[in-house]
Amino acid sequence: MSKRTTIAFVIAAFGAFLGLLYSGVSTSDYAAHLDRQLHPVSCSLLPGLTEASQLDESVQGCKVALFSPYSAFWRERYWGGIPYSLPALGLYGFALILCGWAFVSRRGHEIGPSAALFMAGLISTGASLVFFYISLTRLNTVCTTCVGSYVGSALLLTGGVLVLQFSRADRWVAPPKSRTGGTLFLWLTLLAVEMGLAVSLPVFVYLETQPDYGKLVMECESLKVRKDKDSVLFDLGGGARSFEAILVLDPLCAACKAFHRRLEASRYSSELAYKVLLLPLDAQCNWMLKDSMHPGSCLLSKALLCAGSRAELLLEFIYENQEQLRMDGIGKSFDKIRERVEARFPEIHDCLDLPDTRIKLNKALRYSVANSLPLLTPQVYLDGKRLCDEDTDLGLDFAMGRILGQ
Amino acid sequence: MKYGWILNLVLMAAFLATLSLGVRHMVASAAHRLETGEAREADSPVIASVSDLPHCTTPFKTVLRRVLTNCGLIGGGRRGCQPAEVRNVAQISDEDFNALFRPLSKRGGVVLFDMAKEDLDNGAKRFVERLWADRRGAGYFFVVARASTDGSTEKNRVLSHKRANSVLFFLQDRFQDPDIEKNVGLLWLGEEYAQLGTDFCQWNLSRDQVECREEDINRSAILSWIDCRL
Repeated sequence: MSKRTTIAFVIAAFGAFLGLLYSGVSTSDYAAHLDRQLHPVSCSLLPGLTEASQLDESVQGCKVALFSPYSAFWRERYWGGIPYSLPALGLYGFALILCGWAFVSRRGHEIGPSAALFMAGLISTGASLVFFYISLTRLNTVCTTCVGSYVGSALLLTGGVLVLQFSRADRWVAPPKSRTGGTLFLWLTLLAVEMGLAVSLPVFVYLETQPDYGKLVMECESLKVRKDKDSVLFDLGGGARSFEAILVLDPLCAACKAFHRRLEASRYSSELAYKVLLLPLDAQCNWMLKDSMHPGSCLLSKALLCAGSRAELLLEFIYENQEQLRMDGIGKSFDKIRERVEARFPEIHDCLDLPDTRIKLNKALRYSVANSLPLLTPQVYLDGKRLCDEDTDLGLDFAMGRILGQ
Repeated sequence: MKYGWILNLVLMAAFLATLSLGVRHMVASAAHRLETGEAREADSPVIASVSDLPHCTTPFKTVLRRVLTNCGLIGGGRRGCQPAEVRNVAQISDEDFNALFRPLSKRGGVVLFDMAKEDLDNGAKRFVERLWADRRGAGYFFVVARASTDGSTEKNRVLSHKRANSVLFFLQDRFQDPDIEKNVGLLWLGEEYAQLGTDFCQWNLSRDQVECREEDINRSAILSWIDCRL
């Protein structure tokens, strides 16, 4: 094996090492969430040297990626599904071991190992391009840890291409000891099996070690009173669909917006007839709070109750302008909130101040009392059964499937 | 040749074993935290409930329970209590009875009537609407009607009953709400029990009253939400 082939292997090994490191960190972060709790997420090019955080703005990209539907597959079959970083971990590891073997045996220029290294680079780079595209177009953010593995895969592919190129000349100088077609076939088969094992074995172990979530996702309470005698729930379309989903929302709660979006992106969304129960976390109308968590949400809740058939459009408008409206609320600029909403939905102007609207909002809050709902948002009740808070992100598809008996 | 294969197999086997153990450790740690409840947050969320404000002291609740039970709001039956009954049921003096209402000034108001009349004027209607809409977490809405000492005791008892009914009927007509049946408690005290002092003129009144004498404030119905959990 020539010096330049060795250098190409070094490049590939470095790429594989980076890929192994970053996919390992991503997998570890993902697996930590299997206890159904929230944990800090590492989001740095120097994992381990910087502190993992849950709230820091700089980790938002990684959190968005981790909790997005694109971070794992088979989510409806297994709680949280299988993170894509797990097979990636095996693939990068395989490539790194192959490079290590090439350094020790000095036989990296043979067709089998150089082709396998190239394949590993090609697969990882292809996957990286797909995920990078998803990040830009669907998630609108880039995850730093993911960027680390994209760089790793690019280096791995570069190394693989160079190895493929340089090893051809090496094979003229130092031909393999056995040149029969059968040996080459065996070599390639062995490497393919090794690559397959490296990718699939961690997945198998991951699934085998997982606890049984089937019972846990059914543990949360059910609605005591499902009948909406005061018509306090408003529809968000899909009335003829198979299952009723009551969303408990505060219009100014960012988590509600994110959760609603996740719910709509879930595979069961098309089967759900959505209804909204308003639970504004604003002491102005909510007597159960001493302090307002989202000032202004009582006003917006009244606006939603006044919007009638346009409530879905108004909710979308609130989501789109949530940050601005929240700032107005914190600044006690309720007139501004009102102006913004009325500018787009002038028909609600008179209704907002009617005693009947206040009474209706109060009845919505009393629906929460009648059902002894936890005082938090978001919540969702699927055919009357509460989706546990712990299952509203990674375990969403799995838990929904179990609750809906799918 | 053989050496190369064996080395490759050994390295790969070592890698696969390490990888499997690593993955197993990650998942098993989370599974352990899940099973032991180690990761679960200690604080359970607050559950939605009706109000129970600081003025709902034990003596207040005792009287409230007696009145609600005997005047038909708890356990069903007929609605309302008249003076003699209230006196017996509440088992407290006139002054103590009025003292129970003092902390409710921010959660209620006083509807004023013309002399010898039980009709609600337009201002009173808007006032009742507003108070009814301001229910929040309260469980019960009290209408405590009175009459001034002008006229006979019997006539004033009937008049205060009519005043209490005026409020109830207006609410029923205006809101068509079945909850009104369950939540509104009527007490009519005539001139016989717990006449109000002029300190009640400081409450929210249905009229911008220039003068508020004792006879004016007693031609009235006190309306208040009761924010107590019994």
